Amino acid sequence: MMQKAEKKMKTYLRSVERRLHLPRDVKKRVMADFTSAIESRKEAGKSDAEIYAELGTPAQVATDLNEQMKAYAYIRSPWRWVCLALSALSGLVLCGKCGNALIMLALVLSENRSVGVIGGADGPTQIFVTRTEESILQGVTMPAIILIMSLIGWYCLGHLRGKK
Amino acid sequence: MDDRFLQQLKKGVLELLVLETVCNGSTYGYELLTRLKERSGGLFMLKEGTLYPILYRLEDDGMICSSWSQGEGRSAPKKMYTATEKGQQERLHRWQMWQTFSETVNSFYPRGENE
Repeated sequence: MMQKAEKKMKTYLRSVERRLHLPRDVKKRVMADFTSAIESRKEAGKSDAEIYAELGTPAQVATDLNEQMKAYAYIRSPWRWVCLALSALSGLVLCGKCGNALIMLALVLSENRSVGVIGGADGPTQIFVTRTEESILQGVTMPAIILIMSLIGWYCLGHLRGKK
Repeated sequence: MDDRFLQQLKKGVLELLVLETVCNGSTYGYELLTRLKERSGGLFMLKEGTLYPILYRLEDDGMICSSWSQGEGRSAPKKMYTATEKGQQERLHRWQMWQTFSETVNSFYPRGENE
C-alpha cells in the first residue's frame, strides 16, 4: 500500500518534470523545491489525496511553473528557421547525390561482373571506378558538412539563454 | 481594473516580503507561503510557482542561500532558505526605500475629499 502511494507520487513528479520547458539546471532547481513542497505538506499532516487536490494535475502544475519561470526559459531565435531550411536543402542535395552514387555503383558493379566474365579488359574499368569514388566524395562532403552545421545551428538558436 | 492594480502592487512588494520573512529565520517554500498568507490576513495567497522566481532571484543575487535539511522522522530532506549578511543589509535598505516611497505616495492622498 505504502509502496503504491510512493510509486504514484514518483509518477506525479516525473510527469510534472517532463512537461517543464526549462533548461536542465533550472528544471533541477524547480523540481528540488517542488519535491520539498510536497514533503512539507506531508509533514504538516496532509494526505496524498489532499496534496494532489491542492497542487493540481501535473499538466496544471507544469503550465503554472512554465508561466512563472518564463524568464528562465530558453529563447527561440527566429533565425533558427533559416538553419532548418538550409538543412532541408542540403539534405535534399545529399539524397540526390547518394542516389546518383548508388546508380553509378550499380553500373560499375554490373560492368565489373561482365568484365570478369570476358576477362582481360581491366584497365578502363579500374579508371572508371577510381574516378567514380572521387566524384562521389567531392559531391557529398559539402552538403554533409552544411547539413550537420545547420542542424547544430537549429538546435543552438532554439536553446539560447536569456537574462533573468 | 481593481484586480490589475492590486496585482501590480502585490508584485512590487512581494520580493521585499519574501526577503523579510526569510530574514526572520530559516524557512522552506511551503512555510513561507503559509507565513505570508497568515501575516497578510489572506491578501498574499500564493502558489508555489509564484514563489520560485523570487527565491531564485534573491539567491542568485546572494541575499539568501539554500541548503538541504533533514526532515523529521521518516520524511525526506527539504530545501531550506536562509538569509545571508548581504540579505539582512539589503532588507534594511529596502525597508528605508519603502518608507520614503510610501510617505511620498501618502502625501498625494486626497484628505479634504474623504473627511
